[in-house]
Amino acid sequence: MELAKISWISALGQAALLVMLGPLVTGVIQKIKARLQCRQGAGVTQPYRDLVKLFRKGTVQADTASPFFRIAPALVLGATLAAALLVPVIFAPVTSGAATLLPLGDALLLLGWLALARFLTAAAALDAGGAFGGMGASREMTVATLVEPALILVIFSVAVVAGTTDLGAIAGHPVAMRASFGASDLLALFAMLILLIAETGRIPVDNPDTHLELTMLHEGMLLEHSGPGLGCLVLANHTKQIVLMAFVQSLFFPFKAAGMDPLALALGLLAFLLGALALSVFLAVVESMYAKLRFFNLPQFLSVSLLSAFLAVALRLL
Amino acid sequence: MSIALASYLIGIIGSLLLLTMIVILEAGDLYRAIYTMAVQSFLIALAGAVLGSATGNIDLWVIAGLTLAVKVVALPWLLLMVIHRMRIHRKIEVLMPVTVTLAIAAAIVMLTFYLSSSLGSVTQVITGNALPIGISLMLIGILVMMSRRTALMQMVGLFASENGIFFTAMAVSQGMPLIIEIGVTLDVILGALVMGVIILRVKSSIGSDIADLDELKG
Amino acid sequence: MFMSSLLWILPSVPVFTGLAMLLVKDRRLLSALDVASTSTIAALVWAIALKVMHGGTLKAANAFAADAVTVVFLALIALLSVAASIYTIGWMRREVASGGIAERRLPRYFALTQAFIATMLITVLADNLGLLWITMEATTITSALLVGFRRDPNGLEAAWKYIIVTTIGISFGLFGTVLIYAATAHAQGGATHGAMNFTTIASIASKLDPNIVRIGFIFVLIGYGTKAGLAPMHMWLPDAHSQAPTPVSALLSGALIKCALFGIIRFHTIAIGACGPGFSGFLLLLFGITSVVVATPFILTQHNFKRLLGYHSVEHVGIIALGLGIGGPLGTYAAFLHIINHGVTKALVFFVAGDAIGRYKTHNMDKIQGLIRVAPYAGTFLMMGAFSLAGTPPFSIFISELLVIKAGIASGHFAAIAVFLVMVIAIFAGLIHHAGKMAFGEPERPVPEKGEPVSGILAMTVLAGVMLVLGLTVPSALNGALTMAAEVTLGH
Repeated sequence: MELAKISWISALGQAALLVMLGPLVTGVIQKIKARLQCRQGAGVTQPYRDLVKLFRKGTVQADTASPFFRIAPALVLGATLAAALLVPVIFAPVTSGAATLLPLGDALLLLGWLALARFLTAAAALDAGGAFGGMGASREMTVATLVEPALILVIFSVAVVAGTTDLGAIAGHPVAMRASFGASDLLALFAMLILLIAETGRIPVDNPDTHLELTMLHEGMLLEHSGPGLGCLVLANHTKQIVLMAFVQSLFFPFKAAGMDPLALALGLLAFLLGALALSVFLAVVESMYAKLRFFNLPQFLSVSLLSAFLAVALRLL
Repeated sequence: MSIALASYLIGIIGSLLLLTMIVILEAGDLYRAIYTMAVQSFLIALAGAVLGSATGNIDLWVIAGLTLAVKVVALPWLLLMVIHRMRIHRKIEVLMPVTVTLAIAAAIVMLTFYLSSSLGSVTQVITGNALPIGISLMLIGILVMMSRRTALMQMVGLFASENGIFFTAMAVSQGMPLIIEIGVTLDVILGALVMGVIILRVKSSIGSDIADLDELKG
Repeated sequence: MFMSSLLWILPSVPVFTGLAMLLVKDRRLLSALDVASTSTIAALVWAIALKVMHGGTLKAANAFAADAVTVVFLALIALLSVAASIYTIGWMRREVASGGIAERRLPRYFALTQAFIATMLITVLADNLGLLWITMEATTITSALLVGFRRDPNGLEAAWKYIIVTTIGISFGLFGTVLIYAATAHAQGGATHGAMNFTTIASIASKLDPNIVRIGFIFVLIGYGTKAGLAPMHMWLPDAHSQAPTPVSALLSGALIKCALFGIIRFHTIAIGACGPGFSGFLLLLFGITSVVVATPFILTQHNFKRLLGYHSVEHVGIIALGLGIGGPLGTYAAFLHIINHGVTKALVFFVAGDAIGRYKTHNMDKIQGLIRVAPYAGTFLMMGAFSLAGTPPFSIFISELLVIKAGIASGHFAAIAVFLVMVIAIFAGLIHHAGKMAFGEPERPVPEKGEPVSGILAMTVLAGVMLVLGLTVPSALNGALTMAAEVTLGH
């Protein structure tokens, strides 16, 4: 009973932390990008202010939209928050044989929640009946076809060694196993970094800063929303980004607290923040170095990640 | 450095080599391919240094240095000079879709790993995963050569392929004899020179890329 | 002691001559140096051959070794080099007069040819397998420069294809070498001393891990086979051999592809020791018969004279591989005999081709007619060469092909021999048809020039003489050498 309570408290706490830090991460990425591009850029807390602004505004809706369109943003946010519950951020107790914690961190379930969120966004965009929404939705789904199998393969390549797809178990695995960061892990990490770019909708896959029709994948789907609905979707986007960062860290660089003592928790938090910062820098640098790929060239780019993930699994098994 | 640690590092370098090879295969323009090839050669030199300190063989250090000088610096510089003289477009045409070549590359890697895992005790002589990685690099290099229409890209594929052979050769026991490695490197650079000369001569006399020449048939 | 140092002196003769040639400008002096160098090489080869036949394998400096196999190849290279250098006297005069090669580039041409010969000599002298590879690549580099020497687009295209395909091919060979090296080191318990030397490896061949030797041999066969012109890696050969200057073509077809076969033979011996004769023999048989089959349709439908000869080389390399693949003392003997026979005959026909093309100013066989009237000697040699290449008695190739067939039937490879016979008959018909048209008939207007250079006639006579002699009988010295070579190859 104790164990179950700890699981739930830690899960809820970590999820709250992620939601709160999400916009900050986006702000940091924007700031780094601005600096790299020799601009001043907005402050790191700007996303918070944008969110507050959106939630205060009224909603304007297309005539052709159905009631689904109104509730879709809330559903999307709900799905993303459910995903946030599943990823260990600071605390990942070591599994001790028979007495394991409740499996609250299944990686495949996490991917499933994120995929559901994506589907709902796309459906709502189609529902509105606008051209941009349809185009954005179809493009986003094409990217998803390539990205999701690769993600699953990455999970498998790590799960083969850990023996389970539970993220908590993977992250909390004894140090000895993590020390053997080998060839297969490198390939999986390479694939994962490309997938991180794709999933967070950053250059060279998608341009998050613009609303021009030719460069929109994700933004196209959001175009028809306004007010609190848009606020929910933007918050969901920030949360998804930080959830994915925590995901990458759990798979490859887990330094999580094993127990509930304050020092370990503080160290775990520090490790997480450092990791998030490193990934933010990575994303910002990549965004500043490259131009957005033409949509027709995207499959080529993404299949490199698919190939790497595939090889990672193959090399583990061979 | 212990043999076990060397084995581990060679494994890491091997997978990085595989990554660079995939990037070369997917490269959309010549500059990226050439720079990636330079990175790949740098990794080979690094592997030589690792093996040198693991086996205590001075020859391997010399080979590492030689690889650094020739394949990381001289060879890319030569290729860039040829590009500069040729003033060609950056985009490379491909003979078959890149996704198909990537799939073939995946099949090649899996096959070679399966093959070398079934070889038995003789692979103990070769440190780490150098044997399957070496064969994979070689075959994927040939794949690059076969699927590209630019002469320079074919050369890049050739040199990447030879990187694979170097990698395996260095990892065998205490590395190949020094004089052989020097000879091989010399051959590579001479071959590159001759190829460069031929490309430039064709460009200056008839103005097209040599890989496009198709007169001799039948 | 002195005899061992001959192994060093032999390749240094062309090296130094080549360097000296770079300083000479006069064409006649260059040709004289050329002939002098190749004659010296021939004399040295003769001395080495005598020593090896009577005294066993010669070794030098842990890198060179000369056994019976080496002697056979050295004899071929020496003979063809002498013939080519004599032929070049007259040929070069004509080329310079017609503007095909600029006079000021002559030193480079001659020097490159000497370098080319030197690399071939070192290749067959090499005991160290790594050295073998290095010099094999060196032959590619030097001969690529020679193939593209005339700087016309077709020549350059041929040179490019040649250098790219053969370089990637022999890097396969390098990989195979590395694998055999690993196997040897493993068999010696991790010690790498002498693991690159053929004599060392051959002596412990039975202790090598058969699996890795198998993979290594496959790589070597594909690799050096590309250089030898075995199908399906032969695509560069017709281009390169047809676009090169004629003496170079003769050396390429006659000697160089045989040097690549030398590499294969060395590894064949190792493979026989490690895995038994079945594996490597089967692969050689397969590639051999494929080459013969693939080359035949291209021979029959060919219009370009020198390309025809190039495809012919592919076919005959296939026959040599077939002989090696059939194996056994008779098959291997036949293969070695064919190496010499084909080399000599092919060089002869290339000389004739060069003469005819220079005279008629076209490569197209349909336009070349009435050669016997215009140049009686060349025409005669054309008919002789054509009959020989097609495998007719009393010429040498007939003997070696007959021995291959005999060996094949004796060891039960009926299917392969049957296919081989069908192809040979088809080629016979096609070749005689082409040659007949070229030799006889009325030359087209305007009549091409008459008058044949003496040097050309001399070179062709020498080769034709050898061809005839070997067609009637195999002299005992040569017989001894070939038998010993076969024994060494089979590992006795």
